[in-house]
Amino acid sequence: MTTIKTHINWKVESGIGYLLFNNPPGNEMTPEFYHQLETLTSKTIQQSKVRAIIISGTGRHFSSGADLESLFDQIIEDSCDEVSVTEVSNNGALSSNLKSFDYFRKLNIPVIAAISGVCIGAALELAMFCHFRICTSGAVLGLPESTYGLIPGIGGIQNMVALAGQAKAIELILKGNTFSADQALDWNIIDYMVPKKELRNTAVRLAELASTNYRSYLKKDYLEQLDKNKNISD
Amino acid sequence: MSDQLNNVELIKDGDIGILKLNNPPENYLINPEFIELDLLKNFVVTGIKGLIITGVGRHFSAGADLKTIIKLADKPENLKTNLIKGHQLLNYIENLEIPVISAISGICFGGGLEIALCCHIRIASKKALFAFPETNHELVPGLNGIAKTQKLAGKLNTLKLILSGDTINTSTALKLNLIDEITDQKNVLDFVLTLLKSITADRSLKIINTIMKSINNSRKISYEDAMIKDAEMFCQLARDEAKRRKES
Repeated sequence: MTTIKTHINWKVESGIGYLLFNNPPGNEMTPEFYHQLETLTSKTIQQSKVRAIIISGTGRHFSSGADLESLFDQIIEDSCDEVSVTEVSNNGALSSNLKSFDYFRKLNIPVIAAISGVCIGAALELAMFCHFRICTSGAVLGLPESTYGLIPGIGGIQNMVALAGQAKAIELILKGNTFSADQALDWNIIDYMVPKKELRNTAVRLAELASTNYRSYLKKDYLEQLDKNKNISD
Repeated sequence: MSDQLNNVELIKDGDIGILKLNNPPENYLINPEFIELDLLKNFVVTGIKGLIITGVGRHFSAGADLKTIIKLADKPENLKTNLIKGHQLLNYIENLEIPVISAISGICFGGGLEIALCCHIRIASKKALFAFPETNHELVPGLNGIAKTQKLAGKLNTLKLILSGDTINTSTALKLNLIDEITDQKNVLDFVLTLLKSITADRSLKIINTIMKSINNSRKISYEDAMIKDAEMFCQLARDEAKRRKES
């Protein structure tokens, strides 16, 4: 019997769903990852009846993004000369990935990305579909697709324009450079920055805060409350 | 290489095109179509990777001067045609598939501000000044300034700014999202040129076009449709890149 390694762990604890990328150290988003994510977003999460979701990576890093080699292999496999690009992208892997990522944005419960270490490319794209992004101060983020002759293909451009504005998005996506958590906070790409040891606790506190009356308040109100309660729980 | 006609100067610095409004000192706009559209198209077609719009001398542009408008208004049909041409020009600039940055120093009023607003990015020097003075003369911004300002600054701020005809400084303009960045550097053009070169230097025109097409889509079509189009463009690029890798 062959055991397929799960690249994503899903665990429910006290009504909160923990989606943990499980391919350390890089937690690359391989075809297997996307396949498992599709199952999670089309079946498992719905059945779990959680009131909030926290997404994070095993080990030091959130995720280094898509595994480009297998991505290229898959694109070549999916397409043949007679099929148009529109057909390929609408029916193939990429469209399914977009659907899986966008699933989190559309959820009516708070979805929180808890980011540490590296959060690059498709990983940042997924994080930008989340409702909140909490990040450790040492994290490194970026959309480096342009340096590979590509573009962010899973909502990255549209989401970055929405978060950081057109001007900053143009600069970051054309350049493809990485940036720090401080910069990300400045540019509204992340919402809250914490020291590494407080990442999980803060994510859980935010999940608790936001899940009781989600969307009754503005996003900034939840973040203000998170800040206020910072010392109380210690 | 430099091309100087009709109050506009076109220069190339490497792969970056620079359009200078050239009617100093205030760089008043003689025409809403401040450069012939075909002239600009021919310039873009030479393969520039980015475009900077700026003014000759201390100021960006004080907009159209009253005398010009009154003169044009003598023949209302002509004025209307000119305005339509102006709209088409600004529309063309706004939808260019290369980054367009306005480098603003000094005065940026009225039609000048409308030109800056159609650029993808606006960078100003610390002492620049902004205004829509049209209402002081029983006129209104005629080149889409109201709509663009509303999108960036919201209804209330737009009403206040345009109805009052007041002048605002860079820090206020930044707060209102009318500009994106303020530079300490004395020469804004140098700053913007360095920035634009660093953004585009290692990128092919194909990638620049693709990314800018997506950026332009974010303003023009729905969020969902834009993401689907991004996926299509990604697919095309990935196919090209995969093919290239197979062949090498």
